[in-house]
Amino acid sequence: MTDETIRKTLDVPLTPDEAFALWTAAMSDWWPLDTHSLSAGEGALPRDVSVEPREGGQIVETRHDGVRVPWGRITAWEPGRRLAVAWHVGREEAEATDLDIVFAPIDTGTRVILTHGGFARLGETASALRENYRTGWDLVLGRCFAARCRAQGAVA
Amino acid sequence: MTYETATPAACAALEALADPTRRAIVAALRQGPRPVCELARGLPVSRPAVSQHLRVLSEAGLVEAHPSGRQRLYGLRPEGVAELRSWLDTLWDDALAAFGRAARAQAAAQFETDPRHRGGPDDD
Repeated sequence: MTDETIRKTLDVPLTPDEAFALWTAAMSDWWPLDTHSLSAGEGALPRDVSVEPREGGQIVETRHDGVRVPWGRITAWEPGRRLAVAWHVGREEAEATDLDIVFAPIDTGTRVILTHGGFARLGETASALRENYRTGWDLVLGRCFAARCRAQGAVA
Repeated sequence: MTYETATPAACAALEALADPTRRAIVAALRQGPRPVCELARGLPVSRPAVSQHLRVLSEAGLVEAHPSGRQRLYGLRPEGVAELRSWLDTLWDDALAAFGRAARAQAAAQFETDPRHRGGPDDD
């Protein structure tokens, strides 16, 4: 429970500008909305997820019933370089965690470096994880996680 | 709840932590292992109720008991929390995998429409 920041990297064959644009302007084209959205928690597909392209803008899911629910607020908007979001899916904005995505140029294109931290600020670690991903995420990820575990035979 | 049928470790932990008293117990155990009586003193519930909550937390893999002299000390089980972490990680695995697929598709489309490549070797 010491360092609880999640770190992920992915190399893609696009320029940093293209990768940043795909992540932001075209988010609804690639984000796994059928499983990873608030609507999915209710067994439906959201109508859209969109990114307001500026610092202070929001990432907003338009749910299956038309209700718009923010997922996070953009705290750094540096096209082609970095996107940072106060991420609060299923939570109040005051209880956001820190999502940071860096788009770094490499020989073959772009390395996407994702970090997600700040859970400790919410209180005890386990509770924070639980609280931060309540509502839709629990169902959605619980379902995904269960399926993955079944598929991989990886139930601990 | 869909995951009740599957009950992987992380889902059991999440369900256990849905209760505010159990979250308070987890919070109290952050400072180190405690006997039941000491935990009960800091909570607005009876000692038998605390024991019951500890049993749920133990079954969910979040808490473990160790004998210490004549009493049992309850402490957090790091592996249980680690399972929650890996569960959260799967969100980003899935999202990045989807992003990677979209990025490769876009790169392939750009390659095909780029006049320098038209008629050239295929992108594998």
